[in-house]
Amino acid sequence: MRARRVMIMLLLAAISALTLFVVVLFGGAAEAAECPASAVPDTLASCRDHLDVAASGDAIASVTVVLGRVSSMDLLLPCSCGDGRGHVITKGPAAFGADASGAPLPIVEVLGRPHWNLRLLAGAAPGDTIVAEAVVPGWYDADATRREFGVHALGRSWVNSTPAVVRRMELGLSLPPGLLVERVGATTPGFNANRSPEPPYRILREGDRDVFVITTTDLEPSGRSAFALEARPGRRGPMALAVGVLLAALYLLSFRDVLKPEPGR
Amino acid sequence: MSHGGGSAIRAALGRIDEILDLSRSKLSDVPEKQSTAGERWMKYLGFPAGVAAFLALFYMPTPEGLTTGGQVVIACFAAALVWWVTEPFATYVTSLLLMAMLVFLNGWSEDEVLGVLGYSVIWLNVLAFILSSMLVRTNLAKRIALAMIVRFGRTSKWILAAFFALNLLLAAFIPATAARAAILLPVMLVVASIYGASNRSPNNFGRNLFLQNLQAIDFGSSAYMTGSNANLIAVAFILSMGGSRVYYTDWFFAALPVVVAAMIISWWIGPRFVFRVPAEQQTPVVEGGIERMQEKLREMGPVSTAEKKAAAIFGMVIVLWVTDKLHMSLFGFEISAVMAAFLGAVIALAPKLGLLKWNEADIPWHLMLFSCGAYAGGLALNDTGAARWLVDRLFTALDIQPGVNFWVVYCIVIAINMYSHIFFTSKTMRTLIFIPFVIAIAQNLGFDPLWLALPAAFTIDWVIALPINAKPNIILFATGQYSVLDNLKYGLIMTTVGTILLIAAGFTWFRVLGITPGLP
Repeated sequence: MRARRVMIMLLLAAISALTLFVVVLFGGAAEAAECPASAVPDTLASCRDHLDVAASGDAIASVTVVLGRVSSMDLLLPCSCGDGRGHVITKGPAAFGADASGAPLPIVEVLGRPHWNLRLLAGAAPGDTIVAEAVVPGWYDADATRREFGVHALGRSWVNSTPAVVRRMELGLSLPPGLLVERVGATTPGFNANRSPEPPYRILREGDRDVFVITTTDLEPSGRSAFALEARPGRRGPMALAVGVLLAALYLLSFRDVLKPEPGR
Repeated sequence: MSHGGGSAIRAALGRIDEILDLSRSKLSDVPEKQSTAGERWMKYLGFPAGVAAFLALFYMPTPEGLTTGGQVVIACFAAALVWWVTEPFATYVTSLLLMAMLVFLNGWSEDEVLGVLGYSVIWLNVLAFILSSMLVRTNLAKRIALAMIVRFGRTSKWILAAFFALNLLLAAFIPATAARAAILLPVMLVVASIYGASNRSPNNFGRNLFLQNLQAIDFGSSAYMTGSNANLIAVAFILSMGGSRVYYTDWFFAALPVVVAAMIISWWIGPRFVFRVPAEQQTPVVEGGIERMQEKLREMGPVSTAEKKAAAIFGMVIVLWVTDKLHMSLFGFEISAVMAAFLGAVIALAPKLGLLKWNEADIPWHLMLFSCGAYAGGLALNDTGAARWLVDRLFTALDIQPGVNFWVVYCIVIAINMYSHIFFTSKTMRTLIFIPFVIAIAQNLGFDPLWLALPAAFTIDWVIALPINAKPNIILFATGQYSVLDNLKYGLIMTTVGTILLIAAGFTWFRVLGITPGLP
């Protein structure tokens, strides 16, 4: 009797274990079947968006992309050259998308903002580099950007509207010739000199002008990279020199009594 | 300035009641000082020299990596540094001029410059002077100072030694250096007065007393990892960037002998060589000497209610300073050093309950303005990236290449870190800029970052050369007992001593502890 009861219990335990095994096995498979392949995010190994401003105020916008894992053949990148001209792909396995008539369409509007309309060619692989350029007429207007103390307010912003994570994003600006960075304003990513050892930006020199580059790592979709600058002409006026020399001369003339011993000494 | 005159002081201030009456020489008064012929020439040539420094830096071509705003700040700060040292006009006037120059030359914005007056460092100074006034007003400072003098003050050397020991002890419990200065300031004032030193007639004992306390408060902090927030930031960098964990005892056993040796050397050379204390200043300038002071202490009778209240208020502030790490668990929020002093000052000034009327609070506002200018200049240097750029240029110019002997790099790093404090107004700022650089250099050269970064971290609290270098320096400078030049002279001598000590320790003691390489 007792042995029979034990047999029944063992049988029930075996049925339970089998049921559990089946549920885990097929349930897991069902979950796996529901999981889309796109769960692994697309990536761009790097993206360098640079604006090179000439003395005339016109600028050359360039974007350099190193592909990472990209599942779509369409590559729409934010562009600061919406109404520009001379859009051209200078390097890499990509071409501009086309409109309904089949004509190349370098720029398209996405969410109301201009984007490079790049289309990857068959065989494009991670590590490939694509470079596109365009001319942006009148990007810089000295009169419109002039502020107090004769400085010029400049800035750039780049929002990652692609579905890809940009592993290394470099947003840059070559200032018009003769202009140097006076002050770095708000930046994204931000920087607090009292807390961080290293700023996210660099100021380089090319000839007589500054090049400002801000770097962001792992810029997620909808993430932003931006900076605001004040810039001024590199040559300083003679006012400070005149005032300084005058004050020093006046002091030397008027304060000769400083050399006399104080009374009672 | 007079470096002697002890007999005159003794004659003038022989009566103990007059000596102990600190209302005769208020900190908020700005007395006229007499100067030597050399100081008068420095004063005369200082202004044009500052202008020349400014113009040279302002008009030089802007170097790569530096903003034009940063260049303006460097030029303004250099001019101010020359004027602070040579004093063609009062230090607070230089500060006001510096602030105006920063705004008008677009080095730093008007809001930022004016906002410095609201910084916690300025508030802490103001509150420290209110609390100090309370101790003076209630005679508690006089009682403590008399007790200290009776116990240790038969000769000047023992009272100076007592202050060194007291500072080393306080540094273990109170990380805020300004707080330590606030605690000791009223006692120092009374002791200085007993030895014939006041802001109207400073003497060499006073110079030694205040400058040795300044040093003890500042570099005394480097004996303990918790001695200042900057030390903790350095330790965090060594862990996050260098991969080495530094424990409290690692720091303590390595740094304490260096600090103690520096204190002993300073105590020994100060009154003998730097500011020689003449025989008449080596004993209290009180008719009847120590016995008269013992008598005076007895005459004060039992501790009065006002003194007890002052002790309670100040005790509460000290307890809050000492227990800062426990605030979160005790109260659910943290009371900063400033807010702790704030509470004490509010109670001290409260009608009926308090001990002080506003007119009795001796706040040297001219020093607050001096402080503001110094901080505005320092913060602008940091904010514009100019300080970081200067350090980067310095290390780049040294061109230290892989393969160079470790000890050459060690000596350079220690010396640069030590002497750099002259140009900084904040230890935190200096730590944030220097320690990552030092770690990066070590990594580039293939050294263990700990070998260079920890000894470099021991230099952080050495901020002793100028009144602008740290909060307690400004508090003590307010006493008017020494000039900027006095501070610079003693500070540079002790900075050199500290550099030699740390280099010597690197070759010996740090090797034994495994901080520097060489022993298996």
